[in-house]
Amino acid sequence: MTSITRIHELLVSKKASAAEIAEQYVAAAERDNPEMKAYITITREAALSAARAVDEKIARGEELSPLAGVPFNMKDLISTAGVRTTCASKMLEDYVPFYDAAVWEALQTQDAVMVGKGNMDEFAMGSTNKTSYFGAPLNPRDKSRVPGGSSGGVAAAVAGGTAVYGIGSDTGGSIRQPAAYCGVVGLKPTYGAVSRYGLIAFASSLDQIGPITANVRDAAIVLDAISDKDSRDMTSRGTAKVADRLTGEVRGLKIGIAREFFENLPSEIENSVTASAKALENAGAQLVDVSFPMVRYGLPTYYILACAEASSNLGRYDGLRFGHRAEDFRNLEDFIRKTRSEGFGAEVKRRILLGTYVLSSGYYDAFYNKAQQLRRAISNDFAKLFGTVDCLLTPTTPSTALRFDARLSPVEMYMTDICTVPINIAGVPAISFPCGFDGEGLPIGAQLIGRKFDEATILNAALAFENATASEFLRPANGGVSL
Amino acid sequence: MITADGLLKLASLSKLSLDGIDLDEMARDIGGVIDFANEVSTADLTGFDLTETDERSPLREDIVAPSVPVETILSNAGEAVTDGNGGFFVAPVKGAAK
Repeated sequence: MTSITRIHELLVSKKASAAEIAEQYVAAAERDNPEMKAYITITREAALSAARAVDEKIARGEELSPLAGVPFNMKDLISTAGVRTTCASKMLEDYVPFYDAAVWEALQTQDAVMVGKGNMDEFAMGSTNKTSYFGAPLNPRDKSRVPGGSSGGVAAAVAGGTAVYGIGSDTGGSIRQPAAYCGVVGLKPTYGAVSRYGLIAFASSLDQIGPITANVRDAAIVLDAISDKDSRDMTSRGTAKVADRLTGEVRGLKIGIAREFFENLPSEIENSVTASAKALENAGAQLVDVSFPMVRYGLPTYYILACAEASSNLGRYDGLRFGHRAEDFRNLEDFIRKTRSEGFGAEVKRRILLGTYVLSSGYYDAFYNKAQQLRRAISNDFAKLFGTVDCLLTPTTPSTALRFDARLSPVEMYMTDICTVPINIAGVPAISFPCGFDGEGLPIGAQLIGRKFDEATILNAALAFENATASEFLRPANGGVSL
Repeated sequence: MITADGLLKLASLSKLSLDGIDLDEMARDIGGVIDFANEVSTADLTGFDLTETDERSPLREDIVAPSVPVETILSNAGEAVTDGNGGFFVAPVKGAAK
């Protein structure tokens, strides 16, 4: 894996041109994609054109932004004008947005080079990427394993060296879980830190856009580039710039260890995360045992709220204004029903049905209303904890990357998100970083959770861990570009 | 537990057809998730203040801006008509020539 700072150094020192670098990454993506499927669409011409514009800037002696000329992968639910945006669904297989998402606008002002649109679970609903209409991407660490989801293609591209960084979205762990499975860094910023204008919605009160990167400093650089207040997303406020403030200094930092996150873990994961806590303690942080009993309600609360919002958000797909259209129908009602049934995959249908159930008369109070109350209770618990500690350290996932042939019930599959969903419910930021390997060499992720709009603290602590361990867990996978 | 009949009612509300799907299996799957979600009913929220918040959604200025051109809006429609006065989406009609 090559870092953003490394590419920047190569460009500034003129040891490589942006066009040469872009060509290498696009060629690697084109070569690997038939098997690895990290991309749904590769944008060769646009990438090379953007890179040539960077080279012209260099020739004119202009200063480069940190992301100028750096090739990246953008999850295929972020709108890109003129480039199809599919949400990995048959429903939007041929959909071409006529406007850019706010994050893509921001990245273009930084002269970013988009290699292509990243594979994902259909409409971001899944934890394996197996629900993609375009086929599941493989985990570059072990091709018999899933890359995680829903931003699995993005994480796989970064780990597999066909992108330097990626832009994903996280509704219940969709940046952090694939980052953990693929052995890279994933940051879910505070709800409101990054504008979602142009993000195709799954669950609007939980969705957040964030970076997947090769290391912690790169995550800070990308966050600085995409975080801003945007009047087109009324929840957005931006967050303070962090990259220049990272020191890796954690002396005096109070890190909470909530035992509830460590229950029923495989010993390899428990040991790795415990060792990372020790490494931070050795670097000067203070570990504090805390309790977070509301964690047990995180997963059911999340699935009630997320499915309810999904059933509403996905109501817009009726075949009339855009998207797939059924050919054979009896009347308009039948046309809409058949269009939706043909266009959506099984997991999306399941979640729409669940959302309709929890919002229906007779069940609304018992499920949706109670879940809204629990959301507040979980948020209150986080706020109370952050009165005594500066951040929390937990595992990112209760397992390493699952095998493709693992047969799990929907509930067993949802359990893979048990450590990540409470963070979205509370709207706080969290970062997943590699902290070890299991007996089969698969990466293990640890998660640091921070106060709202305090990404700096968790990035700094994660950087301290990287420094303390000499980045020994940031190993490149086979394949891809290495510069 | 949800039944196959209950599932069909949900599908109708959701504007989905479940033709070709094993209803018993899907009822089992969805029933399992509903049972799991029902865990929320055991939560004791006594003592939690569920209403207090210091968060406010900032409102943007109400500024008049030009509309996106109608032709652009219609560009992704399966069927649409545009003319000098604007345009519209076309709802499909069984048997009508395209």
